[in-house]
Amino acid sequence: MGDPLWLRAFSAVEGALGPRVEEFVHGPKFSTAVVIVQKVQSGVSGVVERRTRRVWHLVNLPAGSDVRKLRNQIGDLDHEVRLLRGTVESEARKRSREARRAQQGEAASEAGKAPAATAKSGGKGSGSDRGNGLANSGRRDGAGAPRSRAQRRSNPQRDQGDHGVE
Amino acid sequence: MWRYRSESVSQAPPLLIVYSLVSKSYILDLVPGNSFVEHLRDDGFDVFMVDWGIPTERDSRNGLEDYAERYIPAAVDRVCELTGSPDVALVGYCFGGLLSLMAAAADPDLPLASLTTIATPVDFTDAGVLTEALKRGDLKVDEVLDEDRNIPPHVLLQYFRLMKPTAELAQYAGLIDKLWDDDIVNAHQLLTGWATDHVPFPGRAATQTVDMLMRENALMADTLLLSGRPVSLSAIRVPYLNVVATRDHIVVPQSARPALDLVGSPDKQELLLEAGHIGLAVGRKAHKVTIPQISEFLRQRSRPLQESS
Repeated sequence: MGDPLWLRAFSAVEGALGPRVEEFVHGPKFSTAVVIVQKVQSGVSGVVERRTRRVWHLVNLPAGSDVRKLRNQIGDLDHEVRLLRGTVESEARKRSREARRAQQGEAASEAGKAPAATAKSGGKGSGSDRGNGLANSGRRDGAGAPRSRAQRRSNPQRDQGDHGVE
Repeated sequence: MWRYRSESVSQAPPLLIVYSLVSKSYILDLVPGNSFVEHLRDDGFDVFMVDWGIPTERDSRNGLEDYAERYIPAAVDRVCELTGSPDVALVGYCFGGLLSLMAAAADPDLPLASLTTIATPVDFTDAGVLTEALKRGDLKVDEVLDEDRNIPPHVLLQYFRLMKPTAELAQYAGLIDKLWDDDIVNAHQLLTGWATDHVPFPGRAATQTVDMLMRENALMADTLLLSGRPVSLSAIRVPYLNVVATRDHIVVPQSARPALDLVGSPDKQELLLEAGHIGLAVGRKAHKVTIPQISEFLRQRSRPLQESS
């Protein structure tokens, strides 16, 4: 069964008008209009902000913009701290990566000698340290990656433990 | 970072998905049976995902280099540490793909087994609505920042809506005809809910995106600077898969396809699929075509877990 008549009519109109609207929105006139609206908006909010700030300061109270400034300064400071921590961590990471590579190199060269060694040791230890890390499964990890509390809220299936994500 | 618990991990290396900066990552794990992550997990991969959370004033100073040179490498190393794997298969979605490309290019020593980008823009010649105004500098990013100095979600939403102004109306018209079908209505609600659920775009990263990527088209011109250091995608040598959707109106194919030429890997391929931006990861077609093909690319470049060390 095909689409109902009204939907076909709508599709026809949309098909004809859609590209024109798109063309207009992507064109210079629309850009100019957006720029003007944006400038007027920020101009007006700037004036309102300055006036209300003066009123609050008259009664010796901080204005919203003062609080905002403070929050932004704390944000900057937080970023600086993270930057420093990141630099330290990245050095540590490089070192551990090199160590891991060296370890793998050693393991590979050991593996070359393995038959003789295994014969002597009876194969002891083979594969015992080949962990796949599943013991850590389901941990939420720091890793320098940002917070995801919101995702915990927004994706109910995680709460059901379906995929085992914390 | 999220780890998706699985009792049947059979492939190494583990996958690390890097999600976009402007929307929420649950789209890749929408509902059981319609989940990009679930599909890959069921294929035997140990799946991790970097989720950037909801940026606040603390994140407004995050630049592209913070993500590419600090957070992603940290996540890669953490995945190696947790799984015992020497390397990681990196999968970047949308803007996350861009960050993954930058991360791989900025540090060729990053232990990557492969790199996959999905719907990732690299050529910003025509980045859609307002490109010219942004390029000319008539419209400045600073002017749209909120009080936290991030681009607020409603601005992003309007920006994406303007890319295809009549699309939403057409979607609703199509839905009216299918109101009796609970599955379709549920799917529509889930997708619409996600599509209008943006997160703030960190101000500094947004400014750099406009200045470097849009105005200079730095990836195409090979003039990208991260932390003052030139970074070229030609430095990427790991196996590379570029997944492009032909009906993507957010990241148009001509913006995503050049990545294949820019990346220096000898083993690289493009997967061109007839889908939209979201359709690459969500929906019936994604599960029948896109994800199996991505999974196959990854499987060919992975090893059974027993043989990995």
